[in-house]
Amino acid sequence: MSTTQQTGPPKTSSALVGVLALFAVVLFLREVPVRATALIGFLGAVSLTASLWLVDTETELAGRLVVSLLTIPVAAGFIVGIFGTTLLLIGSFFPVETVSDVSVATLIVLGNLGVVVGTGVAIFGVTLGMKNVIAPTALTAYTRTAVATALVPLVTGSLLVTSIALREGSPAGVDLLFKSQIEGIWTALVSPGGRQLHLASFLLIAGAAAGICWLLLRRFPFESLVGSGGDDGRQIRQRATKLGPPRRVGLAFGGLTVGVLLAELLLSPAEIQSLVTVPLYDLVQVVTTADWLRLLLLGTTTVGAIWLGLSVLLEELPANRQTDRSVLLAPLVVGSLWTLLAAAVSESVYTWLVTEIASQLPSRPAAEMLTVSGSIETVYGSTPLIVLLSGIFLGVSAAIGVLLLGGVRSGYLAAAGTGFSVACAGFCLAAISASIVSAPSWLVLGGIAVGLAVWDIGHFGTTVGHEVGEGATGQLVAVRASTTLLVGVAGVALAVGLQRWLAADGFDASPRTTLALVLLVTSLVAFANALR
Amino acid sequence: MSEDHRWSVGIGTALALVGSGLLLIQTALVVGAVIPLVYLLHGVVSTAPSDVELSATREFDSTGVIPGTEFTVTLTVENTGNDVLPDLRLIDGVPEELTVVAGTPRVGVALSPGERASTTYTVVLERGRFEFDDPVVRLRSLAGTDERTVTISAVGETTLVCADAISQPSLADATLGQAGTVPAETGGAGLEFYATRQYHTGDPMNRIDWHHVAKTGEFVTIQYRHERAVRSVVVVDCRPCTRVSYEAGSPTGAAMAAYAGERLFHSLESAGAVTNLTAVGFDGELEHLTDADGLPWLHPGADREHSPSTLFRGIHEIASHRGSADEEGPVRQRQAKEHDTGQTDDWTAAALADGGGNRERSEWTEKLLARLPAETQVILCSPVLDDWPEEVASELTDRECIVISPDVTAGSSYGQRIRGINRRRRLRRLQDYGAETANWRIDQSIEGTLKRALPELFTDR
Repeated sequence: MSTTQQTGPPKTSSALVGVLALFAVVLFLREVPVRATALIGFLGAVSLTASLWLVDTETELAGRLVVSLLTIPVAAGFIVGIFGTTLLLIGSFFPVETVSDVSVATLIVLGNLGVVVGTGVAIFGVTLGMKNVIAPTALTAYTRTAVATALVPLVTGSLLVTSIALREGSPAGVDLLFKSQIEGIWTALVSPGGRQLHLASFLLIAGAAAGICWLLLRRFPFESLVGSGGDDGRQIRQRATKLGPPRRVGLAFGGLTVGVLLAELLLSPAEIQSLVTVPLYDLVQVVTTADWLRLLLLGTTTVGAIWLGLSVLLEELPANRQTDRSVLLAPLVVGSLWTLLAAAVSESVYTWLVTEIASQLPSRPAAEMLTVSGSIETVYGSTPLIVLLSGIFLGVSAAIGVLLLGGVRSGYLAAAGTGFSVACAGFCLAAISASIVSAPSWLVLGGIAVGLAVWDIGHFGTTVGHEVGEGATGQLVAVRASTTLLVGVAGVALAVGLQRWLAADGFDASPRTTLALVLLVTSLVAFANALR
Repeated sequence: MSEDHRWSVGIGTALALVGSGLLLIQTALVVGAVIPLVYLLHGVVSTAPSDVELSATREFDSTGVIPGTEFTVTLTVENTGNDVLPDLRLIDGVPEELTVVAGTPRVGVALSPGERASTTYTVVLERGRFEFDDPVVRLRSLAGTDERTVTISAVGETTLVCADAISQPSLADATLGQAGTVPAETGGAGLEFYATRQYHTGDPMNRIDWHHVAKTGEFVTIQYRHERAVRSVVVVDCRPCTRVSYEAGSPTGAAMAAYAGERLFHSLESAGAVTNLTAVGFDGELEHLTDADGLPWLHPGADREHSPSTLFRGIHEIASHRGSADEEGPVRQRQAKEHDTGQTDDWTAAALADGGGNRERSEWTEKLLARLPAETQVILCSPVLDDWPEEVASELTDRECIVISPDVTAGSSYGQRIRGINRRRRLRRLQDYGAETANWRIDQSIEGTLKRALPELFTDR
């Protein structure tokens, strides 16, 4: 039998998930003081989904033209949604009166940012899940279009800036600024000092190196090197990639980095020492601050990244030669128009940008920034800088595509219904962040329940769409969705009851209570796992 | 029965929440870990129904239909047991050869005891006999963590029979008027007067026109119209470029050509005509049916191994494979080559002018001409989607050539319209070569088409 089978979820489950997600997002946003930038971020997320859907369905010139134009809201959504929100939050919560308030204000900024980013990710995940378009082909096509769109302003801006730099030379202040920043990054990555543990940066470097090693194993030309028809090479590749540790280490280290970073930010070295005992702290510190080890890991990552980049480039070049020229024509035209527009309004945009950023910063960094930006403008002029920045702006769209493609290629985002998993993660991040900004408990708990419900109903809809199709599945979806929501409500009610009981019984965050709770949850997990 | 560990995500979520809660000293997050654990528990305790009793009934809307038409099937499933089935997904066992063009043979429902659900879908028929398999049912628990797959036997219709050419009344009702012999445009042995010529030494005495001798004193010999036995060759065109259909599920042009060829072959045989059968397009496929030159060739009175039914089965098998209509015929390839080399030559005009000689022939044409016996009537069954039939007809101007062409360009898309225009032009050019053409539209019967297009060939008894 041959028949056309849809791969997306049916409309009933999509509508349910959409309404549920929208409701939760609105409630979360009520807790955040900056909403305009968050809405722009959501627009970017929806534009990204629309772009992925368009490149999957429209392969003609007009379709690519629209996708190229959509790279602008995608980039705007990402940049304004994250950096704009951060800037506005910094402007709202800083400066602080005492030094001790800095960490509190930082935490509140991070919490609010987490809510915005989490809800934005949830919106992206839900829309993506509804369209089910996170396929390597669509992502590759989108990334190519985004790169081609950003190419003209990037190349033009780079050429202009480079030619002026070679002709005029860089102002001393700018040199010093960049030099000090580069030195700071180098020190943090390679030779961090002091009594700090520096575990987060070490985990980040180790995770990156492990991930690169795994990707290298996947792409290494075993077949060509071994010969004999490639069978032996394939076997070696299978064995190598099944080794698993590099990938698992990469993922585990990457995941741990965030938690460890938070711990290092919130707790002093003395507090961490008291928690993990001094000998263990010293042992870990010897490893994490070893210059030679960090250099080795960084070297592996750099060499691996260069090798990967070159191999991808060499693979892409022949593929691009076979691509229809009209597919590349549309983004190049859009990129050229964008460059002309940037050049035309460069002066006013530069002034507005510098003023807006400076107005949100504390007075001292704002003054420094105004001085440096003035020097830069004097030497380079606003046009080359804005053209270059417009290229970087569009390049963000391409970078998002590359990141998503990496997730798909590594298998992490490759499964059906991935969008709903992304949405669930987004809601969990929003819920955790909401707890930092003192959102009501019902919202935090409700956010967790909504995230899990979106994941479950979305995945269910995806399998139903794959196995049954669109026709007459409403009743099936309704039964499952109502069950999931009921279970979620029961879970929230239980959690609220537990919280009230703990509060009424004089719960405090003492180590003993914490330990008891950890043991309780661990035992529940073990019990549930044993039942399976 | 299998288990889906989908709610293991609950463990990860719970641990993440506890970790975050402890780190941020947020009680709400720590107690929030209860929510994924409740989901996990729900998944663990939820099991698929073990004692399932289901019945399925399949109904067809009609029987004995013709290829290319749409046919509706209704499948009803009923929960005859006592358990509620919260997640039942069913797929009917539609034969691989049939294409579903409307509706779906799949059902996804929750069924209470005694409740029933049905689905109706439409398939496009192909000729032959098709057996429907039993529907397969997948049952899941309420949480989706437990599933089992069972096959239930469907009562009602299970076999679909669609217009088998052999079983249909043949074209004998409209058989060839010239069955047995066909008059030729040459003098020779026969009964009908043809012409007179000057007496040659050795002419039979009974052929001398003695009346003419008496009147003029000049010896002339009477010639009668030469009669020769009809020998027909049915050629089925099933090259890859003809294996396209005008809509999803419809028979391919090659399959329809094979169908027409089969009907004609049996009609001719039953009328007593000496008939050969061959097909072009066996490109290394079904080698046991082809000769050394790659053509299958069925001689009259062939053995059982090379019977018409065996060969037609092979032809239908090949003709049903989907191909690409983008492949160019020999004429287009030649024109492209001429374009590349900068030489311009109107092949068709040149072909018409020189009567088909001195040109580069395609591989299939060479093979076919090498095998065609002299003085045969060639019946070519082809959808005429490229220039190859034109090339063959240009080589057969010295003998009778009939082209039966099923129309697979009947759609409304631009591509189909353009192909339709090209096809009509080709049919006209075939007529210019002296071939008789029969344009078989998909909504008409082959008998009616032949009677209308070739009335001189068929007479009603």
